[in-house]
Amino acid sequence: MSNSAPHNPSKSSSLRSQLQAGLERLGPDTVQLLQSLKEASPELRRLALQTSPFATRAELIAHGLLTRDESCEMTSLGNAALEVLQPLAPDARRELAAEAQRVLDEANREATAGETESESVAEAV
Amino acid sequence: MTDPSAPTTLDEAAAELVHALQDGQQFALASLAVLQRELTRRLAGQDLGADTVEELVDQVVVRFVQAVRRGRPIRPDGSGAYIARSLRNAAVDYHRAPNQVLPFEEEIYGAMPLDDDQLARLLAKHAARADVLDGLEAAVADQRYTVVKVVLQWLRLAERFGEEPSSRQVGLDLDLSHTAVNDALSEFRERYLPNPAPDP
Repeated sequence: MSNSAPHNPSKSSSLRSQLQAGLERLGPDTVQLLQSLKEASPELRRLALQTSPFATRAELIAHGLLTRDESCEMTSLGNAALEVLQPLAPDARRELAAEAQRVLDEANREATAGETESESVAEAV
Repeated sequence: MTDPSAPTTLDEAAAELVHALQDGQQFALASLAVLQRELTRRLAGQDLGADTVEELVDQVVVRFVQAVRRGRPIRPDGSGAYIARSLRNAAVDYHRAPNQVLPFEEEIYGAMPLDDDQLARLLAKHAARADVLDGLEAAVADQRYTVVKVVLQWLRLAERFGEEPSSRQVGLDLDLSHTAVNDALSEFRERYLPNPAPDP
């Protein structure tokens, strides 16, 4: 006797429509998070979800993609969502890296400007 | 292919994570991966099981991210030392009393950031995390998607700034009028959250 559950077309079709509806309603940041988690290890996936804002976790929970408890495991629907989503495109990854670099440069510039300003004030005094 | 700009050390990863979070980004996966790897390595040889190591590292990183995201003025260049110290303390606490909840280290992170329940109470005085999640699930089931979007954005801003955002601010982010935001919030509070018991 086979251990696999008998195929139930209406159940799988309902899951598919639930999945499609859920993915269409997610915000872009949440979709991007899921895309980037697609290739992450289960440990990193859990950590990324645990450290995500409450709103992001709440959004995934409300759409049935994430369990409610603190372990932040994807539900079967969530795992199905990860399977159907495309991984983050290399262009998008480069854009994220460039954005991170821009933020870093800006912060360094601000820090330098602050120091120069302090020095000027000290000299004036 | 490895991204040459990706962080490789604990200090670099912590600094980049702080920059990303302070800039309002939701996550920085490459930095998280390095933090997880480097912190796990630091606990190697401490006679802790793999599950315990993973749990301690996760708790320390979650606390660090929450502290930064919820407004602690942690300097990026010192953040690697913060998190390393927090991990050392967590390991010591664990050895002393396994299975206890780690104490929040105010001396490292300052005042405790708002947790999920406190965010829920900002949204409605009598609500808790579970009520907000129940309400959002019910609103999704009713296809009240604008209500859901408004509540989620409200929570995002509340978490970021540690206080109730104005409806104008939420509206600007979602391209909605502040009246529409107020209507959505009222609907969520009245229809999807438990109402407080009337005073006797």
